Amino acid sequence: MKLTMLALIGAYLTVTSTPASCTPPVIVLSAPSEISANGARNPTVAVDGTHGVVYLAWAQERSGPTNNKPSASTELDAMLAHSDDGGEHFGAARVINAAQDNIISNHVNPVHVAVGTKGQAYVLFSYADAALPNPAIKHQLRAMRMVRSEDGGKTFSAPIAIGDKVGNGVPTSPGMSNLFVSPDGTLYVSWLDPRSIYAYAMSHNAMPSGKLSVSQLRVARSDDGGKSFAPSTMVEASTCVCCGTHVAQGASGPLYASTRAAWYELKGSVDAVRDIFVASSQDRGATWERPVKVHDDQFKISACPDVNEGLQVDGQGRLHVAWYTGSDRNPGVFYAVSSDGGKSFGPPLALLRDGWVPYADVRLALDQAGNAWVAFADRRGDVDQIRLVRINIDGSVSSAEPWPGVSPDLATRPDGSVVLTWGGVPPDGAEEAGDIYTRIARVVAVQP
Amino acid sequence: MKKYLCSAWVALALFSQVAWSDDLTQLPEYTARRLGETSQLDLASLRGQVLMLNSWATWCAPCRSEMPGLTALAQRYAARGLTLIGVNVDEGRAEETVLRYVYSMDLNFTILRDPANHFTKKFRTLGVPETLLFDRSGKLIHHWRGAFDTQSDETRTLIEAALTADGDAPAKLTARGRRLARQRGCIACHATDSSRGDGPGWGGIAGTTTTLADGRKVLRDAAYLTRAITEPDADIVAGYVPGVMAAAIPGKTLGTEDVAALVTYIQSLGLSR
Repeated sequence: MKLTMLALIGAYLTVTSTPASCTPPVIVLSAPSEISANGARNPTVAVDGTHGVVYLAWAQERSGPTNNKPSASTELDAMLAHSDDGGEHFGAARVINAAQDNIISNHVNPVHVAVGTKGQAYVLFSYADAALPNPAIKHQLRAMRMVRSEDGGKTFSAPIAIGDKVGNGVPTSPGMSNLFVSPDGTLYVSWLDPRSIYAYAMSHNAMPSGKLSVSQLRVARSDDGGKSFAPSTMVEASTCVCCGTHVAQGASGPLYASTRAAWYELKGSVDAVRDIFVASSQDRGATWERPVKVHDDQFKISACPDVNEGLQVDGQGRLHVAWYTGSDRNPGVFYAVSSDGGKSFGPPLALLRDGWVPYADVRLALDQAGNAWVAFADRRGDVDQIRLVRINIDGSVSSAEPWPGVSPDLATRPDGSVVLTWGGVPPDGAEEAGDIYTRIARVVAVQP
Repeated sequence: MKKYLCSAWVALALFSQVAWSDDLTQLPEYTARRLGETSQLDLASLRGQVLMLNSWATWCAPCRSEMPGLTALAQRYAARGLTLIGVNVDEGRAEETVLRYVYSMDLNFTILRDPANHFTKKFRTLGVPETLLFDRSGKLIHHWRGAFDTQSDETRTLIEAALTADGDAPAKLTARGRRLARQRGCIACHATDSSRGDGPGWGGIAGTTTTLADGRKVLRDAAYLTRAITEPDADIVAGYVPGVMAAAIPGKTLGTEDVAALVTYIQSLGLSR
């Protein structure tokens, strides 16, 4: 009730008191282009600004169309397609994993594509690994591989293994991975690592619960353009087990890593607080400072908020974060900036706020001017929608008309526009969709 | 200054989204496909039962940790009218993955598949796991966000409250079910004790686990009993043959309330009857 009243007041003020001098630019969307009609999921996008190439990666079912029928599980391939005209049109996609790899993909652990400083294309994917190490561990182990192309996606290197298959002397299963290329060309891969959970399971023949059922956030670095990776380092020992991970760095300044915490910080609560944190490293990920919450949401839940936050550094060295919280106090999608190297964050700006906001996957991309584009899922209505907003450098915000879709991702182009990709929503009566799309979003100034 | 004015305006503009109700109080309409099958389960068919709905996914560690406790709850309270329904929301084509999980965890309650996760909208959940408890009238008794302690005193108290919330409603349903069982000729084949007839005796079966002709083990909760009445050949108990009941009741369509009454009556029959 309180929220409804505030919303009405907000709407009234919006209509009556908009300052003419700060009318934000309007976001214009191109028509969606269908990339795959069936069996595709969790697309990601990256832009090679130097060469005008846009890469698109996703997971594709091997067994063809679903026909909207209840169906058996299917094996997935990791796909890559590229566009030579800035994302307007894409060429034929190709499978980049080995035939024996059964790809694992969901929106917090998709097939990732990233672009190197010399235009290299990197693709990171997870696949189902070996048999279970212990009967108590009743889920499929994962492992990660990465391939690279140095000729615009025509040929690819042999895949290299990334992440630890053994940690603390027991098998582990890296997941919720992400890939980041820093402005100096260093590659970083982040992931959640359940080695402490597995160590418990191996010694107790049972899975742990509560405070013992937490993952580690780990990061590994490559200094040779993705040919090899150094051993990983631990960023934080108590994190969510199924949330997205991110690494970011500017042209100078610290390296940042983020995910959702699992911190048992509220006295008397059996639930962990799952707020977004950011940790800084001054030595390129060799050691990490104590993580800092982006905001004290107090999102307290013993569940799996399986969504991504967005994390990126602008040209001024400011760290931008956009995230979802399901906190009873203030659920929604928020955005905040740190101007002091991740030591503290400014007040959050609400991008979506309501009495009930189900988990929302959030992605963020900065253009060269420092405008922050945020795409996120809005699942409150009968049809899942994607919302796109741009937090402009003058503090105003532009919003696009939402459109049906799930699992958004976006990347900025050199001209300040963005390429978006997303998955379709199932038609009425169908259980799944399987189609993926792209479109371009630009802003147009409004004359007062 | 301009920047702050703009920011303030923007914050208000974005805040003024449509306000959605988060105050679910009654069981909404909800239908989903049974795992491994094409048939659908409409929750309305379980009218008169206490419903516990649990949304989960195979990749969700907290979901996995609470499954053994949920199985125990289903077993303990099935005979008294608690029906536990699991709603799996693994995205995409994951049927075999989910089935493997269900077998490996030895789950004894009905699992529905909802890959598009309509559940979250219908029941105003955030994600998985979440569990909702409804009494026999469909009133929401409790909503657990995240994994919960299935064996706690609080959980027991809430379930007891749900089971007893409607006073004499179960007794009235039981009486109606007893009457229907005679009128419709059910008791010609089903004894009200545990004696074997053309069909299994009803006495004491509610809440027990039985083995089906295809080797599966099922908990005879309200979801099972309802289906056994409405789709008699769907789950044939080992030692019995399909087609007998379907042939014995041609044209005798039972309404939802009639089925609910029969199920409640069967649940009321102990082994001593």
